[in-house]
Amino acid sequence: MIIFQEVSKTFEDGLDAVSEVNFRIAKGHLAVLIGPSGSGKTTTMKMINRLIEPTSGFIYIDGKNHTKIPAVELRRNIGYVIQEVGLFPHMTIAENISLVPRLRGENPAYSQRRVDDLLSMVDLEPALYRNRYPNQLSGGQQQRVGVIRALAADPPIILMDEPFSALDPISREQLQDELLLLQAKLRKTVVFVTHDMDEALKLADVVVLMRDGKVEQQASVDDILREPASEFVRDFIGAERPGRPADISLAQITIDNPVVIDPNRGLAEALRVMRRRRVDSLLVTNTKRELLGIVTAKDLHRHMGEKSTIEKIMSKDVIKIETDTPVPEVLRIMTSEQVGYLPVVDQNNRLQGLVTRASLVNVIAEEWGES
Amino acid sequence: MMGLLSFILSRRAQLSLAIWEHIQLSIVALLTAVAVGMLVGIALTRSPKLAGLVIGMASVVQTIPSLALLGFMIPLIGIGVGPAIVALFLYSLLPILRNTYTGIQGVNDSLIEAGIGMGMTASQLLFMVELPLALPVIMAGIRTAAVTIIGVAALASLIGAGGLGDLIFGGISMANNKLIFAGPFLQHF
Ligand SMILES: Nc1ncnc2c1ncn2[C@@H]1O[C@H](COP(=O)(O)OP(=O)(O)OP(=O)(O)O)[C@@H](O)[C@H]1O
Ligand SMILES: [Mg+2]
Repeated sequence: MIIFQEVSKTFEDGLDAVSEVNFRIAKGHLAVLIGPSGSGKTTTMKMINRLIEPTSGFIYIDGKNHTKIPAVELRRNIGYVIQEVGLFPHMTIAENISLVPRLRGENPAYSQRRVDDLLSMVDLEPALYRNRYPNQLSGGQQQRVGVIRALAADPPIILMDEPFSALDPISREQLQDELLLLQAKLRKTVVFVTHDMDEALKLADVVVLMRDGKVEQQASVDDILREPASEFVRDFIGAERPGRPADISLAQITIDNPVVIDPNRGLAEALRVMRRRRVDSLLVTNTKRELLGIVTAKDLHRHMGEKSTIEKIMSKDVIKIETDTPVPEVLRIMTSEQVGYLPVVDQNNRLQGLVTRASLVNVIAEEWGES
Repeated sequence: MMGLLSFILSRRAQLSLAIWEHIQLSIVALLTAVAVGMLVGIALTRSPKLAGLVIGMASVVQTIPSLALLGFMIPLIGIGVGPAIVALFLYSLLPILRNTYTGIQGVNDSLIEAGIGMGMTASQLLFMVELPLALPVIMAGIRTAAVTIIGVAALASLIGAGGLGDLIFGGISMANNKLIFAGPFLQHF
C-alpha cells in the first residue's frame, strides 16, 4: 500500500511540479499515473523511491513513513523500469537481471536459477539470451529484460516510467499483454506512468489522472470512463470511446448453446462431434450440466490410439467465469490468461454458456456501428 | 642502419643503463599520474563547478614548453631524478585527469539513474557503472600520457636525471650522430 499525503515538490528554480497530492494505491493493484506532458507524473513517481525528495507532505509505504527508510534499502525493495530501458551495456543479460539480488548480497547460485526462470517468463530462451549483451537484443527484448530485472529481487512494489512508449506498436501490445500476465501471477503493487489513455485502460486497476501537478481524478478505469470528474478529464480520455465494455452485458456476449460432450464418451466420437460442429474443443458436462472439464482436439490426437474415455483425458482445471462477472473483468481474464474462450457457469457450477473472442468482437462491432 | 645497430651493440652496457633509467622515470611518473589523475578526475565529477578551474590549471601546465618547465623547476625543487619525475608527472596529469572526468561525465544519464534507482551506493555506482563505462576514454588518456612522458623524459637528462637523453645530449655535444640516433631509436622501441 502506497499513500501520498499532501505531497508537494517545488524545484530549486521555484517551479511547483507537484502540489498537495493525495492518493492511495492498494497492495497488488496496478495504478496508472496519466496526464499531459509536464503534469508531474515522473516527479510523483520518483518521490516514491526517493530519487526526488518531497518538499513537504508524507509518503507511506506499507504504513511506514518512507523517509525513515534509508534510500538505498528502500530502492532495493522497489523495482524500477524506465523508458530508456537502462540496461548496463557492459554486463550480460544475466548480470543485469541479477544485479539487485547481488547488491543485496544474495546467493549467486540462487540468482542464476532465478535469472533463467525470469527469462522464461517473458519467453526469452535462457540458454540463448543469458550470456548475451544488451546491444544484441531487439528493443522489445531489451525492455522485457528491463521489466524482469525489476522483478528479480521480488520487490513488492514496481515503478514503471513510460516503459513501453519507445517501442513500436506491436512490441508495445505484446509487452502490455505480458505485463498483465505477470501481474496476474505476481500481484505486485505497480505504479505505471504513461501518456497513452489506451494503455491506461488496458492495464490499470486504478487511474490517477494528473494536471499541473495536481490529481484531477483518481478512479477505476470504469468509473473514470463513466463519470469523468471534469471537462478536462472528459477531453483527456477522448470523447465517446465506442464499444465500452461497461455498456455491454455478459448475456449479450454469451453463446447459449456451446458444444458439450458427456465424460463417458469415447475419443473417436468426440472427434466426430468436433468435426461436425467445426470446433476445436468441447466442454465436458454431466447430465446435470455441471462443468467437469474441457477437451481439445490436441488432447484427442495425443490419445487417439488408446481405448479411453473423455473423462480420463480431459483437463479439469478450466478457467471459467460466473454469470455475474462484469464484462471488463471478463476481458481482463481473457487477456491475462490468454484464453480464447471462457465457459460461463452459475453458482452451482452448471454450464450457462460460453464467451469467445469471436462473440465479443461481434457484439463490440455492433455497438460501434450504432454509435 | 647497420652501423647504428652495431654501435648500439658495442655500447650495450651504457645503453641498457640509459634505457633502465628512462623506463624508471617514465613508469614512476606515469603510475603516479594515473593514481592522482584518476582520483582527482573522479572527485571533480562530484563537484563540476570545480572541474573547470582544475582542468584549466592542468591545461596551463601542459602548454608550458617541456624544456621551460624543467628549467622552471630547478629553483623550486632542484635537479636530479626527483624533480624530473615531478615534471613528468605534471605533464601526464592533464590527459588522465581530463579523460577520467569527461569519461565519467559522458556515461549515459539514464544508466546512472537506473543504477541509483536500483539501489546502488555511490561507490557501487562508481565501480560497477561509471568506471567500467568510462574505461575506454580513461585508457585513451593514459596512452596519450605515456607517449608524452616517454618523449619528455629524454629532456630529464638536462636536469641530471639520466635516461636516454644522456645519449642524445652527449651525442649532440660530441657531434656523434650515432649516439644522437641511438637515443630516440631505443626510445620508440
Ligand atoms: N530536476 C528538475 N528541476 C526543475 N524542474 C523540473 C525537474 N524535473 C522536472 N521538472 C519540471 O517539473 C514539471 C513536471 O515534470 P515531470 O517530469 O514530473 O512531468 P511528466 O508528467 O513526467 O511529463 P512527461 O509526460 O513529459 O514525462 C515540469 O514542468 C518539469 O519541467
Ligand atoms: Mg515523465
